[in-house]
Amino acid sequence: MIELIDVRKRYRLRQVLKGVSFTVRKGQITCLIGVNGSGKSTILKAIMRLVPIQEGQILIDGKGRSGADLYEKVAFIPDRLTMPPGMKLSDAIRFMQDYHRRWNEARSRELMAFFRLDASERIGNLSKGMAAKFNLVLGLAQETDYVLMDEPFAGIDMFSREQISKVFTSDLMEGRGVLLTTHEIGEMEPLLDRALFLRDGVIVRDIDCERLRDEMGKSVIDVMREVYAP
Amino acid sequence: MKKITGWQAFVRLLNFEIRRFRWMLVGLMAITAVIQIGSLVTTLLTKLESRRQDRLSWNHGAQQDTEPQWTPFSFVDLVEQELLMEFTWPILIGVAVIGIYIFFIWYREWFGKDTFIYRLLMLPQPRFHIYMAKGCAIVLFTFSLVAFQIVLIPLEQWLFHIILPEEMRLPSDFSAAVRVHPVWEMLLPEAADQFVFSYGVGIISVMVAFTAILLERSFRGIGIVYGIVYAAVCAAAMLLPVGVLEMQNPDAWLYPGEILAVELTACAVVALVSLGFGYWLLNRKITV
Amino acid sequence: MAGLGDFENVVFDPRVPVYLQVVRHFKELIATGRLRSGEVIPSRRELAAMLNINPNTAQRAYKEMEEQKLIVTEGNKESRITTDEQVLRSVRSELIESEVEAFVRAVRKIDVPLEELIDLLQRKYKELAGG
Repeated sequence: MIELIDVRKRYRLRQVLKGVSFTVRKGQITCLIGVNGSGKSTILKAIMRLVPIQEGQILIDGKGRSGADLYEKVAFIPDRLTMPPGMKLSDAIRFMQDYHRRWNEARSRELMAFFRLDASERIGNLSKGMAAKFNLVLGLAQETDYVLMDEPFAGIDMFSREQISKVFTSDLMEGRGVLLTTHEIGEMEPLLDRALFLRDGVIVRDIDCERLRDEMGKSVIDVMREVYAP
Repeated sequence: MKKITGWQAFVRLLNFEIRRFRWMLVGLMAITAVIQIGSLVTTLLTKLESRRQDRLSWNHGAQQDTEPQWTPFSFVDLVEQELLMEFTWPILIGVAVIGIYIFFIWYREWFGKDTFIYRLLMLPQPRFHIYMAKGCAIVLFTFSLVAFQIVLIPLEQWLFHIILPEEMRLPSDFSAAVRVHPVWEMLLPEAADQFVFSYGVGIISVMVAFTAILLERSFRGIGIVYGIVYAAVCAAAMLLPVGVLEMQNPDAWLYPGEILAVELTACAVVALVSLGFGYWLLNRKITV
Repeated sequence: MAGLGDFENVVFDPRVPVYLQVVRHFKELIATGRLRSGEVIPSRRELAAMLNINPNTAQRAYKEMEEQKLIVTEGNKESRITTDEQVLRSVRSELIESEVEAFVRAVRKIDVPLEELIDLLQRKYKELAGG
């Protein structure tokens, strides 16, 4: 599991994370919810050592993260493509294949076919929906134990969203720990195992979704209204 | 799951950096060749043509009685007297491009909305490979351009040889050619120790620049101040021993040999500190 | 026979545990005869994909249905609807009862004598049966 223990981060003069603690378990889909700018992306980037933290600990399977190990255990799908626009999709895949031992070539082809992406196309020419889907290919074809996704549905057309959510119900996610961020739940609700609510730099509620429904008859959206009511 | 050794991963990254720049490199070489050879050939042909005109007008009864004298000249003379600027421009362009690329090779990873730096930082290999790959790439680009110039000189001499008729030519050798051109002399010093020193300082400067860049990228706003200050401190450290100590008169505190030792130590320290600092920044402080 | 369509486009109430809604859906399919005694049902994974739910939820639903003896799984192979007639009948009556209860609750608010209600029921039944 991925554990965050009292993580604090400052950006310039603003304290963005003020003691964030939570756990992401394998085999579960966890959703990190928060309004725009609340630090959700920062948390994901901090886990991936893309931004430094000032205090606190982040452990993967009980151990501190060390370079190469981290990136073979956790795959990150950021909110942007992070590949040069001049590259062809096939080149980008070659790039991933060259450096990541856990790259599953067969799976990447499956996903490309499922998303109907043309490998000879250039990154710069992709529409927003196609770019998001290709981003998923790059992240999910790695056989990692955990997958982090930053706003996988932001600004995506409805049809692409449906395709993308199909991925969550497939065997691709089997046994993996998934942490995704979003500021709108929408169709994701029945897919979530856990929901974490981030407000003012801390996790204010940490919820098992089915228990929430069972014991309190509430939906995740209901809790969102409670937590983020102005 | 195939095993990729750390070394293999580094080489792939280095190859990646080289490939990204290859057209630029080819372009610089092409510019150098075209300008140098072009200006050489044009000048020679012009000279040939004006000699032919002179001959013609003399043949048809001109003023002089004697055949116009054409003092023969060597390749070296030609370069020194007429082609200095033309031969220098392409080199200056090359220096400028490489100089800019020392910075651009890093900053390009943050451009646009699809910042590639994410991918590089998330590669399952030691982050310092990124630093080393970019550094080695810059060094290789520089050496390849210098090597290209080295190859061009004999080629230019050969062209000189075949275009001009024998009576106009004087022989000259490679090292004389190099010595007569101030920029060539800087690029290809005769003395081995001067060569090592010049290029050594050049490489260390690249390290300092890289570390300054990483400072800026780690601290953003104030980072640019940190970067500039760091570069200034390193420059001072490397220049002071030679500058200050040598400015003393011959009754200085230290012998020249000792000054050299201090200088070398200073350079070594700057190099090691830059590498170590860069390593630390890349692993602990860098932010996307 | 249950077709693909029986498992698609199911809308979930976000305030009720999803796994219970899945179990309920199966009970409806059984009660309406779309799922027959002993019929093979999709695997957990297939179900999750068709219903667009978390595979863990599908897993939980199956577990619940096994506990309620609605389905039978032999080892690691496919799962089937039970052949126990008693169970099947009780599913039907359970569903009918809950629908009737919901109906009665709703209708009690409107003050109508029982005979009139039964009359109305008979008429509506005939009407909708013909259509």
